[in-house]
Amino acid sequence: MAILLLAFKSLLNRKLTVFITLFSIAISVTLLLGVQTLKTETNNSFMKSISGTDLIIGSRGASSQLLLSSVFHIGNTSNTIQYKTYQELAKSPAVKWAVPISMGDSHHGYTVLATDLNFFTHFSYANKQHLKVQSGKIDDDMFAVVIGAEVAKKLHYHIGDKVIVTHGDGKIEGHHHDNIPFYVSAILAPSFTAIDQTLIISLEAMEAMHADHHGHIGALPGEKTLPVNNKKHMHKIASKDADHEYEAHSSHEHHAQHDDHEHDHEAHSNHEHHEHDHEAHSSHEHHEHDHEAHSNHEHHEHDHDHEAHSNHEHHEHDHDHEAHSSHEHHDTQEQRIARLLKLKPDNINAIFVGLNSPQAILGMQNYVNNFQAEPLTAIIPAVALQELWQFFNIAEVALDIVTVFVVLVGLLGMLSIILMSLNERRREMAILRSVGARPMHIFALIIGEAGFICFIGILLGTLLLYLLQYVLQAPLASYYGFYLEINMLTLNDLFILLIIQISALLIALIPASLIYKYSLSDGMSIKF
Amino acid sequence: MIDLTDLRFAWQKEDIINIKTLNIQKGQHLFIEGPSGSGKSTLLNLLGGVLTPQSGNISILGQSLNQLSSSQKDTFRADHIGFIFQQFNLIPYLNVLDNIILPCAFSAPRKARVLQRAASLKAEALRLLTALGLNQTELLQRNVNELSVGQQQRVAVARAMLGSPEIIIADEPTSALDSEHRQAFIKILFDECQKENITLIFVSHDSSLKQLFSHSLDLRKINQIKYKEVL
Repeated sequence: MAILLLAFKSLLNRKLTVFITLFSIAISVTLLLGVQTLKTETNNSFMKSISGTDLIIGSRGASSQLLLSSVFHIGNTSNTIQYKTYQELAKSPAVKWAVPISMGDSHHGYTVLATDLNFFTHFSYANKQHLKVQSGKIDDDMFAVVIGAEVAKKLHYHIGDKVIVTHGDGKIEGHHHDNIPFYVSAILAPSFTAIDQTLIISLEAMEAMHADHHGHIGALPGEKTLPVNNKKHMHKIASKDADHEYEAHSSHEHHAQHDDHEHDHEAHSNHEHHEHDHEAHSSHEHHEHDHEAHSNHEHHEHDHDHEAHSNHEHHEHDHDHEAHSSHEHHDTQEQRIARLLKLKPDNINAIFVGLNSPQAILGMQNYVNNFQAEPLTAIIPAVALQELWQFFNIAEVALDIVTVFVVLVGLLGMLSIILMSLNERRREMAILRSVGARPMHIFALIIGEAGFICFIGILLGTLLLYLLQYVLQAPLASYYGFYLEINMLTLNDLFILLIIQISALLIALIPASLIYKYSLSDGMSIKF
Repeated sequence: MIDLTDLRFAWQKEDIINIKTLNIQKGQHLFIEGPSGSGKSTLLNLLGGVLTPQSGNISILGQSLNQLSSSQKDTFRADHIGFIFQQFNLIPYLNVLDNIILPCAFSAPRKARVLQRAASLKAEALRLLTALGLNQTELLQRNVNELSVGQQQRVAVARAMLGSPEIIIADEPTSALDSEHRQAFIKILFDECQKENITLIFVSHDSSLKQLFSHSLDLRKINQIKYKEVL
């Protein structure tokens, strides 16, 4: 005990060198624990990407590919399955719910996900949490878009803003579906999943964008298309956007405006052709009916606008007023046609499926994998996530090796500092011997010093880790969409710390045994 | 009370100590004259039980050191012998008080003896310092490096005398002091050893100090090794 006190006082006397050693150990401990924490947290957030979905069904292919594209919106979206397959599978008795999803469009680099309203009732993540709406509400409207938290934040979108979707992933200048503008109906609360970076639209809207209507379906009989008017309307929106100080967006709008004009012109000149085509598409009676629905809808829209004006007072007054006067939610010609047709897509990318009982999962998976009409793959999300995570294993091991070496460097620093002090401390050892210290005491003094340095280094390092986590939590969440959960040290962490402490004591055996030998040969003779 | 018989010690096959017989009486103040290379520090290490002779016997206070294990010898030394060295006698990272009471960390009997005569270790340390002419209480908490060499040596004496060991072995304790302080230092040392009836063995190469002692001997004469002049 006395020796440990002595060791402690000896360290206090060499504050600077000890502090530097301490700090290097502390930093290495922080790094090691930080990497462990980051590993667990990335794994957690990865595993939390989807829950409550029993199967994801896509076209025949690698399960990781299906998982990446459907859950993380990464990679290939060209593999599709037929919509009627979805309809058939949804009717299967084991299936409780099935949500079709389709991708392939983007908006300023963010994924556009097309699905139906069931997505919001059934999709869940983390601990079976459903997506929450932060502002606005999820409209049952074909051209409403629900946007993820990060999309809203980065692009400064508000409820009611107009959004134009680009074909493709946005990396290459794709086709702007500017004839089908969307309005933001709801902004989702952050879920720290891929949904945060996603815009969600209806399948029908996506189909409307993709089916090449212009040139085939024109104005309906009795409907007036006024390109000049339309241009004016677009201009108003563009200037409104300029008010939002989003330059890129507004220039985009100008482009859109130009495009729109062209389309309209084209539509005009091919009038005869349209008529013909349209007749081929639907019977006259049917058309009448549709038309009614259409006008009703218009009426409804109008009402809605009024309502918005009177009820939704939390919107900025200016904004709302302008929206009203510029008829923001008034459909374009294409939108009107699309509303009439309400075409479901022929193909989708994947289906999220919930089953009636978990026991049915394997059976259903087997059924889907052997589906007759079309080659399909069904994956169990939890299993596929785990499999995919294995890919990162090599990176994890590499990271571990690096951090282990960093800790080793910290400990070697400590070793060199103790070794360097030995020669100048032989006098001290002789004095200690003269007052009755045994060589074993001298040995323990050095071990004790190393133990202290390492122990305090570990404490400091752990403290630093929590400090960092506390400081970085908010910026990580808001800038990188990564939610860092601050947890207690795990048993694994404590085990690692114990190993570091033991390594320090083992490393200290080198100087301790040296000084032991010195003290045996020097005795009480002061040689220096 | 200290008896050496046929003591032989060699280090790396070279004989260093060969003493037929040496007796030191209790309470004696003995001056041993020995220049460097005369085997002086080896003899002190043998007396302290740090080194073990190849043959012969050392008996201190009736206890033969040969019969003790090395750790028992360490304990025996802590219990019965106080050491004073040439200079830098003190542990640099301990303050004056902690330096003085250091032997108590290794010897329970010495600690017990201190507490028999004083209320606390600190009180006894202060009493010793006062007796040695350092009567400032604030000195106890001072860093030893802030003290003059003379003060440091007196702190070393206080440490050696704490808990009244039977023997004090001083190895060139005055060589770092000027002649004026040297006389005063030796006088204080004598007085305190007299009071406590401590046997003092004072080793030095400085033969001028010989006159101050009642007994003296020349290590070169009792050590039957051909003395080599080492510079």
